[in-house]
Order: sequence, then structure tokens, then C-alpha cells
Amino acid sequence: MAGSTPGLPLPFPSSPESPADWASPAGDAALWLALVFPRLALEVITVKEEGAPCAAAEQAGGRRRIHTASQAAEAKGVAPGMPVNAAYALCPALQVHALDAAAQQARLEQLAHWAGRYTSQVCLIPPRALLLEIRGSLRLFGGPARLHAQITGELSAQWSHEFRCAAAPTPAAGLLLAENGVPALITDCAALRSALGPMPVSALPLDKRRQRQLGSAGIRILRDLWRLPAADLARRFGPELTNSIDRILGRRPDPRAAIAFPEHFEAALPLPGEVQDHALLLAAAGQLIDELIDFLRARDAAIDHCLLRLHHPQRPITTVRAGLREASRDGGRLLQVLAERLHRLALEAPVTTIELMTNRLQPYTGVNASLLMLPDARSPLAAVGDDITSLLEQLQARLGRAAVRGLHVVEDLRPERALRLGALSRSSCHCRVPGRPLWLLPRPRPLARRDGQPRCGGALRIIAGPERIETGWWDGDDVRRDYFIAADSEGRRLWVFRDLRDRGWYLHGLFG
Amino acid sequence: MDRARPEKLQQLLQNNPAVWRAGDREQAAATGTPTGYSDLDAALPARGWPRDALVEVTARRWGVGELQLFLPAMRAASRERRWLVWVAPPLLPYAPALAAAGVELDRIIVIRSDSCSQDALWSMEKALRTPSCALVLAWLNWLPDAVLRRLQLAAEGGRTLGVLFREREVRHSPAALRLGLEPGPEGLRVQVRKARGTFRYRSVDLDLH
Repeated sequence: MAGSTPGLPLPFPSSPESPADWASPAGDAALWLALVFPRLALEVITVKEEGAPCAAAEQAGGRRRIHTASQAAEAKGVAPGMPVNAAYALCPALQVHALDAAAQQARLEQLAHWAGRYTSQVCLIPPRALLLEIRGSLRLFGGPARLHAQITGELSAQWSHEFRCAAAPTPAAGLLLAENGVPALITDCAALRSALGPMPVSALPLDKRRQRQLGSAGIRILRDLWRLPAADLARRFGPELTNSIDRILGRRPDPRAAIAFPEHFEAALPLPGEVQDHALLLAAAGQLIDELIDFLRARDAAIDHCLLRLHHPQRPITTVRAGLREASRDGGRLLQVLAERLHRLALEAPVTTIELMTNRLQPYTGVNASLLMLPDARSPLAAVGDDITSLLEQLQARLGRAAVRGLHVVEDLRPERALRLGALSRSSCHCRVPGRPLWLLPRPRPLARRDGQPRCGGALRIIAGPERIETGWWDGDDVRRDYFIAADSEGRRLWVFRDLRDRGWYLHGLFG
Repeated sequence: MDRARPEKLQQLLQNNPAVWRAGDREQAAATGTPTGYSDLDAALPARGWPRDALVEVTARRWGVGELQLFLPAMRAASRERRWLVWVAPPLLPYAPALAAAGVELDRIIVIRSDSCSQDALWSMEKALRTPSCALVLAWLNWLPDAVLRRLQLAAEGGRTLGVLFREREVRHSPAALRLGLEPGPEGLRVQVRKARGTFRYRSVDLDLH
């Protein structure tokens, strides 16, 4: 059962390999990496304590039986399937917890989602195993040894679960090797028979009756099975045995359904106690944002908005929306925008739980960096984008979208309509009209008159004009005006017009 | 010791722009960006707008020519593909006229806000700190000294020219350059009220039309 049995394939090679080493003679045959978590049921219930004997028990066959036991308990002799009373007799200090199948399944799904960063085909083998199809990822990660090292490293760092892994060309063989603690890498089907030969028959996924039958027939290791003719085996032990062997050796197809990765992200963080401090809320939101960024990286996606929901006791939920100008997965920027929004929010009640969710994922496009080292930001080659986008996001988050505007020119002869303050975007109109003032009054101001001449704090002297604008009959807002450039007594240049309908003088703009 | 002092003094004068000799104004280095008006360039000690600093412009009424004064700076920003930010302008900036003058409208942000509010100040400081912004024009009223100093530091940090338009003169201000604008018979009269690098303040008449 252990890897020291002679004849079993070598474990994952530790020296660097070239692509020829792992290329399969069959070309694109699949390579399945099986990850088995033997103590998952126990680890989701209790915190891992070194040396403490504990076990998870389930109700089976009318009695409470041990399902999974910790290492310390197994050292004392507690084994899965044993009645709980017998376990107590062997180990009086044993702590027994009830099995939580739902939590175990949820954790397995979390692990499957986490594994999505290595491959797009992850299969759930409940209750405690995962299958990853890694042939397609070998080139990116640089070989099975590197991929194995990366997976095991991150598993140990992020999740504190005990695991065993093995890789084989068929899923059944991979699971077989991993369940039995053989960390092997087998790259082609032809080597499977000889590689699996020394394994005991009890490793096969058969029920107890079949195992007893095989035992009483004198079949101890898998090589004995390979030597027997398949037709006789099927006649004596039933077709399931030969089908199972064929699936392991790759003679029979064994399709496995891959899980579908979720399209939306939802994570909640219950806060210790009731929190009303913005800084603490932001710190908690920062944790959730880190999870969100991991999720986005695994899905190769980006988001342009997310919702933060604050749960209050006995009050409706407060929702805070943080939006970005373009889809991105920069955690820092998202946190900044959320900080601005939270800062302006007046919390009426303390918060017990915060929840972060996002449901519209968009494809992620990276930014191409330049190889030229440009020291000066004023160089015309510098990419104008990132800091302006960040500035706009912060301005809009704090002042509201209506307060941050861009200027646009509209093709309309009526001066007040030729200008539009709208959302920031590329303008498409390129008409150029000479003789227009730099400042426009929002509404034309009527001017006083003396002797038929307009006055604005003194007599006005007409310098240029008249420019007649008579247009706009099609939408009911027609204008008939004569525009003049005038100078006032102080020397300012004004843009005034005389409305031809009511014969009044108005000030419409200021030059300079 | 006597021989070492002039060298140290020279180093200090060269390295620190805030320290200058009152007497030798004519030898001041031309570190500023050209304003576009040669008379004004001659009157300013840095031979142009001071780099990365806050300029305060006081004019009793709008429309005397304050925007025209900064049109060349706006055109330069458009050429460099950097952004312009207008904070709380009192009237509407007329886009067709700006476009006709050569300013790129695609890179203009107009922040409409109450000119007395903290939000407007915050927006100006944020915009000054952004390196992609070349010019920030702001019309703000509530400006204690500490706030002006922060804006000056923000302008230096973000390498942006910040222009603050005020209606009333104040006696003290930490801005690097202070100008007073008045309409005159020969055009716009620009008075230099304070400038880093000189104590002799001049005034210039510019014919803008």
C-alpha cells in the first residue's frame, strides 16, 4: 500500500523535465490528477489540534459508527467503521462529533472552485476527492512536476487539509492511486498495467462480498487479475468487475462530468460584535475583496461594479454600490471606490454581517505595457489612462455622476445648443465657428436700454456685428437674433444679441 | 571658511528654488513654461508660468480675459495629450470656442460643484495630484491659508499647474505666483503681486484681441 513497495512507478520527478518527457505517445490523451482529502469530514467540523484524538461519527446500520478519525485516534487503534463504544474503549479521551455532510460537500465545492485556476475541467468525486484534467495545462505550467509542486504548495498554504495526489491517464486509475496513498505519475496507458500490478485487490472500488470472493479465489494483487482471462472473470464474478478493470486500464471510456463554475460571486463575513466604525467595516470589506479577486482570477474575468450589503439587526439591509469606469480586477481601486462610498454613508444602526456580491462578469483584458522605459510622464507616448480613470472614479463616487461632466460640441447654430455638458466620452462633432466667446451665460441676461442702446453697467460700444442667427423652426424653439460683439466701459468684451421678436437686448457671453 | 562659504551659498541657491538672491533678478533661470505672451514672460521671474505650482489670479469680474490668458497653456496641455480640469466654473465654458481655439475637448473634465464647498476643494486637490492632469482651473471662495498650502503641495506632487481664480484680494497667500487682472484701455492689465524669485513687481498690458 505504501510507495515503498518495489515495482511501483516512481513518484513525481523532482528534476526539471523537457516537454518530450511527458508527451504521451497517443498525442492528446488526457492526464488526470486525483486529489483525495482523507480527513475532510473531520476537518470541516473541528479545528486541527495536533495530538488530540477526535473522530466524526455517523448513524449507520442502527448504530453509531466512526466515519473518520484523526491521526492521534488512529494511532490508538480507532478505525473507520468501528462502533463508537468500541472506539471509546480503545481511546477514552476520544472526542466524537456528529458528521456534517452538508459542510463537507460545501468545502469540497470550495476546493473545486479553487482548483479552477489550474484547469477548466474539475470533477467532483463526493465525498472527498477531486479530479483535475491537467493535460491541457501542462504547457502553461511547465510540466507535471512544476504543476504538482504548485498545486501542493498552494493547497498547504491556503487550505489546511490533509491530501494525497496522483496522476494517471484514466480517472479511475488516478483515484485508485491517490486513495491508496501512492503519489505516482503515469503518463501513458501502456504503462498502467505494469504500474498497477503490485497493488492489492482491496484497493479496487468493490463491495465487501466481491472482495471476499476474490480473496477466497486466491487473488491477492491486481497482477493476478490481469493474468486471468477476462471472459472467465466476468462469468464468475460478474460483469461489474471486468467493466471496472477496463475503465481503470483505459479500455472502456469513463466520461466524468465537470463542474460548472458559478457565474456570480457571493461571500459573507459575520463581524465579531456590532460594528459601526467605518475603518473596521472597510477592513472587513478588504478581506472580501481579496476573495473576490481570487475568484475573478480563477475565472479570467473582471467586473465593473459590485454590491456591498450591510446587515443590521431588525432593520432592512443597506446596500452600497461601487462602480468602476471600466471592467477591472484591481483590488486596490475597488477598495478605494468603496471607501469613498462608505465614507459618505451615515450608518443608522450597527452592522452585524457584511456581504459582497457581484453577478455580471466580463472578460478580462490586460493592459499592454511598453518595453521602453519612459521616465517622463509628459512624453506623448505615455499611456494616459490609469490615473485619470482612477481620478474619475473617485470624483464620481464622492460627488455623484451628475457633477463630473465632459464638454461636447453639438452641431446646432443656436449658440446655447451648440454646447452640451454630458458624460465623458469621445466627441464626434468637429465643426468650427469663429467669433465665439469663451464664457456662455446659462440663460441670456436682459440688458437695460437707454436711447435704444444697450447698457451693462455703462454704455456699450458695438465693435463687430451683426451676425444674424435665425434657425430652429423645426422643434418649436426657433431663434431670431442679431449677435454683436460689444465692449463695455471697463474694456471687457461682451457677446450681446438683439432678439428680433421682442426687440430686447440680451447678454449671452463673455470673451476671455 | 570664507572661501568655502560662497560655494555653499551657490549650491544652496542652485538646488533650492525657494531661496534666491534679491539683487540678481536678471540672471534668474528660465524654468517656467512659456505663457504664450512674450511681454508677460519678460515680466515673470521664471520667464513663464512656474512649473508645478499654484497660481492665484484675482479679478473683480469674470470675462476680462482670464481664460484667454491661459489659452496657450490649455493648447500646450492638449498637444501633450494631458487633461484639463475645471472646478466649479461660474459660467459655462463654451465648447465651440474652446475647440476653435485649439483645445482638445476629449480631455476636459468639468466639475460642477458649489464653489464654497469642501467637495470642490477635495476635487481640486485630487486633480492636482494626478500626473496626467496638466492644468487645473478652479473658482473657489473658501480658502484658508492651510488649505492653500495643501493645494500648493498637491500641485508640486502631481506636477500640475493649478490656477485659482478669486474675486477678492487677500493679503497673504502661499501661492507661488499671484496676479491681479484689470481691464484697461490698452487691453488687459496684468499686475504681478507676488512671484517667487523677485521683489520687484511689474505690470504688463496685454492686447488679447
